[in-house]
Amino acid sequence: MFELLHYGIKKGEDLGADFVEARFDDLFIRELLVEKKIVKDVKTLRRVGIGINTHYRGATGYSFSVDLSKKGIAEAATRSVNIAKASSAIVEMKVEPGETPLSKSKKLQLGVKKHPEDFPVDFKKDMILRAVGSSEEHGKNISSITGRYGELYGEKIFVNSVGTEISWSPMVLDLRIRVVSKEGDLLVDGGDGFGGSFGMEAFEVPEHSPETLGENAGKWAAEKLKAKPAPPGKHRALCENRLVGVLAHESFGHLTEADFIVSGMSPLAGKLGEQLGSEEATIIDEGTPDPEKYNGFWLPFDDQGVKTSKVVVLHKGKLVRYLHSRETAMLMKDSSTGNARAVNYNFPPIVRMKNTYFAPGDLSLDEALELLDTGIYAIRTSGGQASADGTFMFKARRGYYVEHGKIKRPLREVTLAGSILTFLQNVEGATKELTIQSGYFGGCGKDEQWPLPVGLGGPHLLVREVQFGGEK
Amino acid sequence: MVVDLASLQNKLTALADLGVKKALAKGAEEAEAFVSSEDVISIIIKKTVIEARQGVPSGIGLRVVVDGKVGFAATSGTDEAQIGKVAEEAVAVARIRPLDPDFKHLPDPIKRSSRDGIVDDSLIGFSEKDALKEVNMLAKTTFKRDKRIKSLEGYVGVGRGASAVANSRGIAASTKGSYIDAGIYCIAVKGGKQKTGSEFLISRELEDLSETGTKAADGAVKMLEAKPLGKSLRTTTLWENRAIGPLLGNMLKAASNARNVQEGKSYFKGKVGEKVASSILTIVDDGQLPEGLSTQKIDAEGVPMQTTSLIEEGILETHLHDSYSALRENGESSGNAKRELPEPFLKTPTVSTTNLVVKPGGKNLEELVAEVDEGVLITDYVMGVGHANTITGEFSVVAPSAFLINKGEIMNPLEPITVAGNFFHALKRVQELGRDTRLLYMGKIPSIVIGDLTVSG
Repeated sequence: MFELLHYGIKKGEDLGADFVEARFDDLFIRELLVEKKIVKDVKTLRRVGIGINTHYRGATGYSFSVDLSKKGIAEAATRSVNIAKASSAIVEMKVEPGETPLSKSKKLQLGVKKHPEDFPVDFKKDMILRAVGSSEEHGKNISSITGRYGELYGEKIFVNSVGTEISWSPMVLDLRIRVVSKEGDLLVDGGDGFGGSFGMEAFEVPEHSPETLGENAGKWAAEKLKAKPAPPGKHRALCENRLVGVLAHESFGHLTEADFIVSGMSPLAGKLGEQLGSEEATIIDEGTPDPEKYNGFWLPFDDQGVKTSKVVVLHKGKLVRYLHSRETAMLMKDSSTGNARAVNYNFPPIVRMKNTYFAPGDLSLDEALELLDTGIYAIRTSGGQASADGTFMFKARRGYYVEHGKIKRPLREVTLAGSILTFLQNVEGATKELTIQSGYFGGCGKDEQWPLPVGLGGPHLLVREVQFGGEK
Repeated sequence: MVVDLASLQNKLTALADLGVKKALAKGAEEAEAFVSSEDVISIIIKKTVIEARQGVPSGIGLRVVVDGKVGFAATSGTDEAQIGKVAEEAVAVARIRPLDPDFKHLPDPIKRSSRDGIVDDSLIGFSEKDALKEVNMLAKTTFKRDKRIKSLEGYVGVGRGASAVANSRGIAASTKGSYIDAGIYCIAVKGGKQKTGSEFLISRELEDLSETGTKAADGAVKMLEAKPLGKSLRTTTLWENRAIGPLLGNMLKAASNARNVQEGKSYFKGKVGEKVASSILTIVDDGQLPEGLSTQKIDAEGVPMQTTSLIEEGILETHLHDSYSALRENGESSGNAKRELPEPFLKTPTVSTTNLVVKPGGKNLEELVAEVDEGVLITDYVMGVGHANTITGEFSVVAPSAFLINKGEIMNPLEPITVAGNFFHALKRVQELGRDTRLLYMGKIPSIVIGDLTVSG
């Protein structure tokens, strides 16, 4: 395959391109869907293709092909050069390839003990059924249970004009379970899941076993049957790891993506060096958080062949770095942070996040609850919205009302709203544990490209004056 | 590059046939192949930086039946060895599936005359140079319109392609089409205030984009004078066609889906023949509307598409079917099977509306405003449609572009307002329809007046 990609590069250069890079993706995807105990859907997909990105006199062009022959790649190279040439005739903002360091790194693999490839689909189906059984056992007044398993693995290869040769094997697994309980007209849900770059052995750890995930989903749904809606208004809040991870990514991370800075769409444009948050707020974007400790998405190189690293974006409340592709780095006189990613071979890389998380602090969870005193403990999220101006609205999956440092009662309808910049100013403390999670389901969307696997996480954050919605 | 759709159709038809044969050879009792190929140009401009791509996503998806059980596997690419592997995988997947007693068999051929939608030769011959020129013009006209436009994102996408379906029960058919999708999203700034505006166009034919940028700019600039509503009230809402389109489309798509009805997940369950909407509302699901974006000769299972009356003067006429839901009721598919984009070959069929055509009323937007004593006018996309509950109809959306109406006149623009209520209940409170039907992704929709929704801001 390296040879074929080099052939594509040569073809692009012969046609006049200043710089060419070629990618090959060969990804296997498997999805299982179970409703109650019935297997509703099983899918096996393979997404394989090549992509060619070229630079020509300050413009870029991208093309791709599912035909993996010399003819196929030559056609893709030709289309790519043609579109770059056409673009160079009109483009005002010249984009040069920038710094293109040479890397040789082949067959990079995450060390997993049990590769999903070695397990039959039946085994994975049984994992879901184990979780469903456990939900039934621990749930109450169950009206539906949905279990999903997803896996993605394969190979990615990258080659460019300066002779870089990289190949690595992405991998992400995910098991999710959602229970809906019903009492009269009241419908409530509970869900748990575990996903990230790891092998099947990760589901053997009791904390993340199908049985535990199923039990949690059932239990948490049942608990909500007697929960009261969160009291609307401003409260001091303790936000759990996964919830703060989504806030770090959705409502802050996107604003630091340098393509939005270059275009002026982001309110953080021109704010480098400014104190935006409290001393307790530090946000990091990293390619390969230690797989022994965390369950992020393992990303050793981005799709421009740049080795990923640990990028501190917000340091003790101060905005210190934007996230860059090679092109945005060039335009802003910085160096690439390894954040150029493409969702698959159909698309060129654009600025995307990797694993985005708040840095831990020094509190224990008990100390954090004590400092919270009276307020809301908000856990995980089922989604929400964040706007380009930094306003957000997220629904927490679970919540508890805390009085004098003690968890008193479960809440439902826990909706957090506000502006991320205010939120960052109001961070009062962070716990010392850090968790990072990723997954096959969901993922990040930008422009036409969705869903891209990313990691999210953080410690527990103690935040004052968080606006909660909910029913009156 | 000129794409020859007729010869592409022949090629895809042959590949679909090959897919079915390979699956049968691997031990399937029944087999269906879906093959598609689409030449795509997509240009995005972010202020002045251009991202451009062109290529041809193509691939094959195989659905097979083994011992009455269904399996699905798919791949990008269509070389013969790959198709063989997919066939093997689909059969293996089917073997581990438990029996679904509601699955009868793959669809039989249905005799029903149908045709392709409009295919525009000027889109077939549309080049990357043409697309770049249009994007550049979009950005230029937007910035030129007003000094307060600070940034923008614009796009032009063009697709032309074909798909073919074959199955072992005798279906063998193909369809073709072309479209252009273009738009501008821009930000206007004055003082510390920042407002957005957008305008877009989607069509099967090449259209004039010279006013798209100026409309987006005007929309954003107008909002700079926005004032807060400062209260919460139940009031009349006038939705411009493009503002109501996505909410109406999502809700009706879910409620009319016969699979959802059968699983008890539809508001329209048990309501055929009943009044579900105001009697001024008549809606057709028209898979044969020549200009409709979803119009095809056949659906994603090779069943001919048709025109189905969904709501007639407020009365629900029917639900919409693919072969799975139809055969479960011993009926015939209404040609509403769809595989979601992009890369439809990687997806299994689901039920979807095609083009929802809402019968227009007699007034233009100004005349509709004149009829409203007190209320709000919503002019641009609303946020939160994706989070609305399509089973119960509960929704709460945020409208960044809305105006206050008082005694039949448009007053000041409003800071973002929240509009909430129950969509299905609201259907019965549709008071007026405009004559301004607009071609949108989900169909042809006029502006709509809905009474008594909760508005706050």
